[in-house]
Amino acid sequence: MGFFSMSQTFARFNLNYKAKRNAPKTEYLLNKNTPFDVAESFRNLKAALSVSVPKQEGGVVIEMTSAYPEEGKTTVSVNLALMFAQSDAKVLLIDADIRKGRVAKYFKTKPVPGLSDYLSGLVELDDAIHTSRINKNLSFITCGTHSPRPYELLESDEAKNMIKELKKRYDYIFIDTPPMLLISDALALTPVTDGAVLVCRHMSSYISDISRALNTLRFAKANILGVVVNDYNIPQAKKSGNGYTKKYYYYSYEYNNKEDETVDSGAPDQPQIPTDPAAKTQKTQYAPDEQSAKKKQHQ
Amino acid sequence: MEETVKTEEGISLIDLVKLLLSKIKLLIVFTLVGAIIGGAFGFVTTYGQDYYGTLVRFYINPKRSESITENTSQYGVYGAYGKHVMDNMTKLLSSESFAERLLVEENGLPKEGINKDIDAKRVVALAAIKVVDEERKLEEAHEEHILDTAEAIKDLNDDITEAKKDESFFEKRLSEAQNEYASFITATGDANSAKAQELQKAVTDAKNKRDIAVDLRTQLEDELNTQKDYLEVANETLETIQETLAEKMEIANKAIEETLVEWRKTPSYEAGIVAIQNAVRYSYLEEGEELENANDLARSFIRVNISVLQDQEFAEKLLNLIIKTVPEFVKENMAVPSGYEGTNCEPSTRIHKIKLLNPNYSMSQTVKYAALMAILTLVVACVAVILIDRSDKRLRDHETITRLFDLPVLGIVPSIKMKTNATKTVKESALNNEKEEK
Repeated sequence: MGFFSMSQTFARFNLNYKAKRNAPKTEYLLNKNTPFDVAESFRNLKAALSVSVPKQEGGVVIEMTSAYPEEGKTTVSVNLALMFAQSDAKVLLIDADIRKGRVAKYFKTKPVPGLSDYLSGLVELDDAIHTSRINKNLSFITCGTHSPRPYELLESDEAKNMIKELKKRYDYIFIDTPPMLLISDALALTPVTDGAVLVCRHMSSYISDISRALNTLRFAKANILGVVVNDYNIPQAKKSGNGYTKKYYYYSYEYNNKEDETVDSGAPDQPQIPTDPAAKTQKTQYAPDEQSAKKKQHQ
Repeated sequence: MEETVKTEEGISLIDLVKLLLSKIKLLIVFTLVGAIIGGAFGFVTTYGQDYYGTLVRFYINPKRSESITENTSQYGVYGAYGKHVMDNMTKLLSSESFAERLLVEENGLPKEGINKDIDAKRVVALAAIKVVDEERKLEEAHEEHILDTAEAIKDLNDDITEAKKDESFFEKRLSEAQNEYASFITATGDANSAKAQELQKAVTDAKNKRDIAVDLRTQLEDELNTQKDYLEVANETLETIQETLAEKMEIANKAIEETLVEWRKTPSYEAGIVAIQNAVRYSYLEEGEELENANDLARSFIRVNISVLQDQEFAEKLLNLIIKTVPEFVKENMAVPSGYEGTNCEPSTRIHKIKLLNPNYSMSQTVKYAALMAILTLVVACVAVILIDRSDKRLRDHETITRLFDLPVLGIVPSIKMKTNATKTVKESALNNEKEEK
């Protein structure tokens, strides 16, 4: 047994090192150069989330977390928020990783003022909210100034009240939390979220770590919506001896991007994201009262 | 409350086979490397490992007849020795003392040139042996002389017997002649007659002849006495010579023993004994044969296997020594059953020649080691692949999530390799936006 645990430790160290070394650290945003399958995967993710969140009044708050860092949680959060924003939903992305938030980098902006500044009472909420230049439906709150007590800030009444207030304004709120097996900040916001999504990385995340993260979420009484597998590598999936990924990637046909350029997804000089014609009409499915209210408004 | 989640997965034989097939190239490479290493090892360790030798059979029988052949001894016509006897003889032949006998010269001394001390003792022993040899020659000469003397005495006795017969005969003739003369004189009274003179002459002749016979007998008896005295002296001399010879032999044996004792302390002795014991194997059974009953032997022979590494010359020398020495040794040491005169020990009649025992040995060992290492490496590689795969507890496919955690996989984001383009595009758009704002 000692030999196996040693071999596992060695394997984990070796693989973790390799995973970290090989993991693309690029903060990419979906645009017209994004491969079709990547864009399609986010579209599918958006569709899956849309049907999995519970019906309720006000916006939907979804917590995006992972077991350990470098699993693609922020990338998935940002691009998912962008995908939701593309379908005319009002989306807010909150970077709750006060210790090491990276959402600001994606949008090429400064992290201050941000969440910690607002929760510390240094700025107003509206000052902390930034509108994305890529899509006007997408707003974001960066992590803010580094704080020595992030958990207390996130657990405070101000945070809870902030979420309540923001739910009135936005259809979807995505909270990018820190990795939960490293620090407990993620659990501070769990009570105010409507669902939690665990992001893990293919051929990098360990089953035991995923299990512990899920158990932690369950212990915190989170509503686990599901798991997102990031950085899925088809040749590696085949080599692992369980190859059956074809059905997940080749059942969809490839769009001709030139045909989709005419779909309006924002300002002309901004990056064009390959769109699904059906996505434009997709609304928040679980806000019937709001929909009927809007209908009446248009009428 | 916390739910325990199953994280350990079973693995079926099909999965194992698929896993190994997925790593087939790696396994092939490892197998080839193992085969090469094994082959190289086999070649290097066995190259030049030529064994020279042969098989010699010595047929052993209690001596009741002059000649002995393989067939007769095999069918026990002339008797055979039992298992215990053959067992003991085999052990004696395998012992250090017999190996030493093969190493020494005919005089029982080790060869010259081992070291100075032994050479000095050897010279002393050789001198003592020479003295013994001379004494022995003297003894032999004396014994021969004694035999001749005894023969002469015997002849003299015969001659004396003949002489006595002649003497008696002539004595009788004389008596008869005297009686005849006396009778004539008594009858005629004429001593001057021709007849009387003739009879007188016959008496004189008979008397002369009788005297000659007596002289002859007397000479022969004197000669006999002389020879008897001579024989007595010769026997005494022989005893003296034999005593001297025994003393000299004791001295020579002591000198030889001292030489041997010193020689046995040297590394060359040990090396020689080991070389012989390693090169020669003795058995009283055929290869693979077993005896259950002590009395099962219907024929008795000693099977001598000679096998010498890389030294054909030594093998041939050993063969010659064994053919010469084993019969002597067996005859000296084998017990003689009652009713028999001694022991016969003869090598089988076929011609014994030293030959290469293991042609192509190096190649066969190379192939053998290559195959063994290939199999071993393959097994180890397979086990390693399986262990590494089993120890890899990373997330390898999304179905695992559903299977283990009973949770839906909301999305699968493929690996993206366009990082450079994405960053560039975002940068460009950011710059464009800045320009626009200005």
